Amino acid sequence: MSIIVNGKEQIITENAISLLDLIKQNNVKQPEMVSVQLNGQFVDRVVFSETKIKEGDEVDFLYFMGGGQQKKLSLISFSGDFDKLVAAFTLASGAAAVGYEVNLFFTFWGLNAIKNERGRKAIGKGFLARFFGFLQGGRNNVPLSRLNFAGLSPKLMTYMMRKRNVATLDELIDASIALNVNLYACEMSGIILGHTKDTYIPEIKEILGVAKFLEISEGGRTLFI
Amino acid sequence: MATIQLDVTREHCPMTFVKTKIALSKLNSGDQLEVLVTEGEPLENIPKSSTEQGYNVLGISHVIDNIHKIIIGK
Repeated sequence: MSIIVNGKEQIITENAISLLDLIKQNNVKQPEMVSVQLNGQFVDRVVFSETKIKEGDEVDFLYFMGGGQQKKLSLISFSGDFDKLVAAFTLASGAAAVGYEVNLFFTFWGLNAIKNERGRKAIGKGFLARFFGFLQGGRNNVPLSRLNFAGLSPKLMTYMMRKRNVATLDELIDASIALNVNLYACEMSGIILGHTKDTYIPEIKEILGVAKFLEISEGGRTLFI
Repeated sequence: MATIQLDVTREHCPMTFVKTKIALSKLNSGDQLEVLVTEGEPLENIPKSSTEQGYNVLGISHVIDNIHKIIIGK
């Protein structure tokens, strides 16, 4: 007989089959954890062996992730390049939009993207820190990783993005904040550059170091951008 | 019971489902969101991820050309 399993047609040689046997036949992973819908209704696990599947039935095998532990993504934003920041915030907002817990950890050049001051300003403690702080600038000065054309390219890119209705870096950052992505700043590079909590945008949850980061990212995937 | 309308037909990834998710999170119990999407990735992904996050997809209908309407309730 012909039935539909997870949206695809399946031919069963038997005339009648129990749901339990169907699960075994399909080599369903973690059978003790799978939830099953038969013709749109959930079937209680205890009656799997007695539930008979007939011609034309639609069976869906579903998994429900508990606790959000498995849907977690942590991103380390190190390079601070315009294009790589766009990638990081696209991943962050996209993952958050489909239910992931997302952590964004800014370090070194990445810190430029989260400074309150968007332009070049000599911020920081001490002459050298202020010197570098000025040269690095803020979100308005982040360079394209290649073909920067002395800072013209990020402006050109933003223009092209607006024209094609693709989200700009600012829109992606706002979306990530709206979707409760966790933003963190690196303690170590902040100290070198003489930053304080007030240097960064108020949405930064915490300034932390490696140990805390490893704890926060435990159980999910981590990417270095 | 309010109905919110959202048009993401001119958006591209990830903004299609990002804007939908932001709109969904503002719904109160009993409210509905009517979102206009284009065929392809948004039409496939938005119902799926909405269901996964506990919302109810109340209907999907074809509007015109490649534009479809998805009705999601809380």
